[in-house]
Amino acid sequence: MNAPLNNLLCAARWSIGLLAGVVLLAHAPAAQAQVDLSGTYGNVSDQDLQVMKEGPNYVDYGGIPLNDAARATALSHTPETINEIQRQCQPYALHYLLQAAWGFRMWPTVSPDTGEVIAWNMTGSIDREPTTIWMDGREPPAETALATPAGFTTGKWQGNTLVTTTTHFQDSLLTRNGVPASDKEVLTMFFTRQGQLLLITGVIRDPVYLTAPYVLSNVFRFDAGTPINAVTGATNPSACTPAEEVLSVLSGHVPTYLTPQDNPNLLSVSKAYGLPQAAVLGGEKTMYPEYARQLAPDYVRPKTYCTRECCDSGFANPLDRQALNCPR
Amino acid sequence: MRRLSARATWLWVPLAVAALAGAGPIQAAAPDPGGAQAKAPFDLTGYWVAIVTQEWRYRMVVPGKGEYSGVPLNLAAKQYADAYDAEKETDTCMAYGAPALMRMPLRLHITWENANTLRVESDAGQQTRLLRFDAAETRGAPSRQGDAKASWLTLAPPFRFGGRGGPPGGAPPGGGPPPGGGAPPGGGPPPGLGAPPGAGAPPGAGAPAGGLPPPAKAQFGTLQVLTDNLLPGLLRKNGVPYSDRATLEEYWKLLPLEQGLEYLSITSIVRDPTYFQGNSYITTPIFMREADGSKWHPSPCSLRSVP
Repeated sequence: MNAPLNNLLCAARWSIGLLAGVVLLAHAPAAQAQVDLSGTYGNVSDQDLQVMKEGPNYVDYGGIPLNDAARATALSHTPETINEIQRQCQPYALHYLLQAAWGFRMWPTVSPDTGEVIAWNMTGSIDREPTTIWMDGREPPAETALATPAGFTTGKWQGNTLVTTTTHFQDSLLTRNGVPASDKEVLTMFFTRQGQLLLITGVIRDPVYLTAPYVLSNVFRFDAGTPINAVTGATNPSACTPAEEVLSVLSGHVPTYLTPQDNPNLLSVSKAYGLPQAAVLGGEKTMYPEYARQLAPDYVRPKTYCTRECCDSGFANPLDRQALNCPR
Repeated sequence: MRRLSARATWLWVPLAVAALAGAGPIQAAAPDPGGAQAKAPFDLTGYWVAIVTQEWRYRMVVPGKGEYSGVPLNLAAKQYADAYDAEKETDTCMAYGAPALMRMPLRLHITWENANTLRVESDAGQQTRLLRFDAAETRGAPSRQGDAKASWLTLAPPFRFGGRGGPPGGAPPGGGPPPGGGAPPGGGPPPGLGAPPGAGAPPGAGAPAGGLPPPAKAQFGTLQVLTDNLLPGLLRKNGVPYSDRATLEEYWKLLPLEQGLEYLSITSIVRDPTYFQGNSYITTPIFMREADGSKWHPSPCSLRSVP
């Protein structure tokens, strides 16, 4: 075979080979860390802003599938409960990630030998502990192992979604207005990176306090430009120092409402928003569409202009606020 | 020998390129002769009920005047909302357009209208969204549900050579059968769910030693829906508006758990250059799969409450 023809054939073979390689490449993601979740994420979800920022109203449990025991505990919760010295630095459990305005940074722990991702790590925030998501197939520890607010988390990939399971929680709060979460809680979270967004949905199951899974979602955006302290709330739980600074909880006083009728907020939400009291007290049935039909006849739409969490988004201009009857 | 080696070398090029690949791109599925239905990485068809656990009051009842929290409205939008009077509204379906529909307390019935169109019906408001995978579909006049262009975003199951180090036979990480060997879409929880960590196929299983795994079909993915050509409408029944320039970007994720429990999250990004202050409005309504349509409750649009 002459040399020019041989060179031509050789070039053709390489071209075919490269083409085939490109075709295979399009169908050949890595087996382990299929999506790189590394980065700093700021919260960008627009739902439940009041819950995320200043917190939910007291005695406002609509949409929470809580049982009678949880409701009774929540109704005994006072605004001063978290001022007790033993609670001042108590972080919220991991599910708080779905209810808080704070973001986080995420990074992998990689095996130096194989390059495989052993774990994904998440920073804590001002009131949530850091989390390690073990990706190496390890089993959860024994049931009697240490329970913490962050719990013990394992993860596995399902296509482009990281699915995590967390157990070994301490007793904690499900919501900031006092609905409890038990140490039997199991939290399943689905992390999907979609472009610059990180979509997280969590399914909270708690056989002690919930009658159905409580499903929450939150959305974060990759944000390399914001300092991490601003993203996570500037401090971390370990920096918290408790102090006896609230008079009402000194001298052994335990803030609590012994009966629901003792709770001054028992009727405040239903009065403010025209809702039946049963709706405000929540329960599984309040999550479903048929409850909207049940509510309709008894609902009285507020006649006064909104006074809370209504003019918050970008209306710093006093003239705008005045023109819109926003609270000054 | 040298000639033989040279001939064999080009055969290894594609394999080497593939072996060097890192994380595979998440890509919109290319048009398929069998249609989008045949290519669906998961099955959305069936009945779904909204689980209203977030923004409960805004969604379950008509909120009061001025309750616009979370929506990045500009001054013109707030003035519109403050002046809005539902009693004078002639179109009672104003709050049932695509940017707002999925946040309503309602049920969905999802079916394939044809091989390239997913049909999403609501019981409340009796609306129908047509999610079209065929870009060649003609655009019509602006409508309440707009024109919705859909595509599957999939990440193919892992590809590895047989022999030392795995493949887990092409199994999804964390367990599950090899590609193509899983349950058909809709046939219960996807493979691997609920299995204990590390319960995947043993190394080498699922593919002949040294051989390639069979062609794979993605088991998981995301449905992306881009909607425009909308009529003006309301994001909330208290008058929070969106304009005819609004667009909707959605990511539909199937979230399977053990024991047949399945959720559907729909992350929704509304943009509106007319009524928003440059930002988008991002929410994620959640639905739970129901066994049948026994709780399906068709009702007409209403601006007062959910009938």
